[in-house]
Amino acid sequence: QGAEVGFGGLRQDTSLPVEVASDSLNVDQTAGTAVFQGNVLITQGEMKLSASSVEVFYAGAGTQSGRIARMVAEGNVTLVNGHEAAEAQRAVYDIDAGSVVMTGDVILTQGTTALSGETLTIDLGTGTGQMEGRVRTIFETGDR
Amino acid sequence: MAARDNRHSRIVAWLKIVLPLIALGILSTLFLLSDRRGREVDLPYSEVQLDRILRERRVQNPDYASLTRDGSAITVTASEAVPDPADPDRTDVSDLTATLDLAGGGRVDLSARRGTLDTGRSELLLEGDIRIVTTSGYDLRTEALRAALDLTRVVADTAVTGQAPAGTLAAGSMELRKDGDRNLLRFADGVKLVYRPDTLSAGPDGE
Repeated sequence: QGAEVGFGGLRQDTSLPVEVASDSLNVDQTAGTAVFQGNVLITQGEMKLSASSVEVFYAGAGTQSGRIARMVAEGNVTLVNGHEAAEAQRAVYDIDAGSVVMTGDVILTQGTTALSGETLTIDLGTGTGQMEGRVRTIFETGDR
Repeated sequence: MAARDNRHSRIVAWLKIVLPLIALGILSTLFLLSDRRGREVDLPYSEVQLDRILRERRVQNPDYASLTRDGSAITVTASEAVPDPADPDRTDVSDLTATLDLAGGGRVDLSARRGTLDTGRSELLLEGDIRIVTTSGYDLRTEALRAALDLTRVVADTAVTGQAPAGTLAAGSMELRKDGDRNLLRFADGVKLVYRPDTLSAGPDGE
């Protein structure tokens, strides 16, 4: 079963510039792939997505179009949007659609409550999220 | 009868003098007044340049080509080349452009204000207003660059900034090399890319 979650409640303009910072960027010109590695931080508006590596996939053939179709982040991925934070093993960020799909023991923390599940689909445009797969809510009982 | 003969021979004698003179006059107009243009071939080097070349062994519009072990072709052209008196392997070149045709496709065009071609260490050092343009969509600038002549390897130790296929890029260093049959471009020491989705033709759904 799934749980609808408010995610930051912020309407994110998906045409804002996307900034990607990392330790290194490895481009395979023959295969046309580009992988950011080491403390990768993707920022767009209020959203920050950090991971250990992010691969960029271009729309259309090869890198010539210059249009990024999606970015796949892997390795302790954390996404922060407003005062919500979500952690997972992997995240696929589709810039044009303004959606982030996080998979692999996802934990979404909102204030003191935390939600865990297998897949969290976030729509940055409407600021909503959908958690699916063995969704469990974890209440922080003790005072932190 | 005699008078008429006398006049005739005088006319003939007189003509014998006048006619050759006229012929001479016509002939001279052929040479003296003829058009001088294109007569002598102008030398490619003026005397001054010849002395300068001999004295400083400075060469105009040199070019250099070599094939790397892993199959890429490098050609270097410059406006001027001056051998380094201290080291015969080194030649200082100015306003140089270098083209690296990568095995497996793709091309890298380098240009710089100054450079040093070191055939001893098989290396081309570039300095000043360096520009790196690759067919894979990178157009970058840096201040110092080393390009190997015997291997596909271009290294920028200083900051690199410019355009990447997806947007503006800045990095602490850059290295282009071949790994097997793949041409790899690695930016390191801190990389930042800014991608602006709105500036691209967003297609039908673009606002």
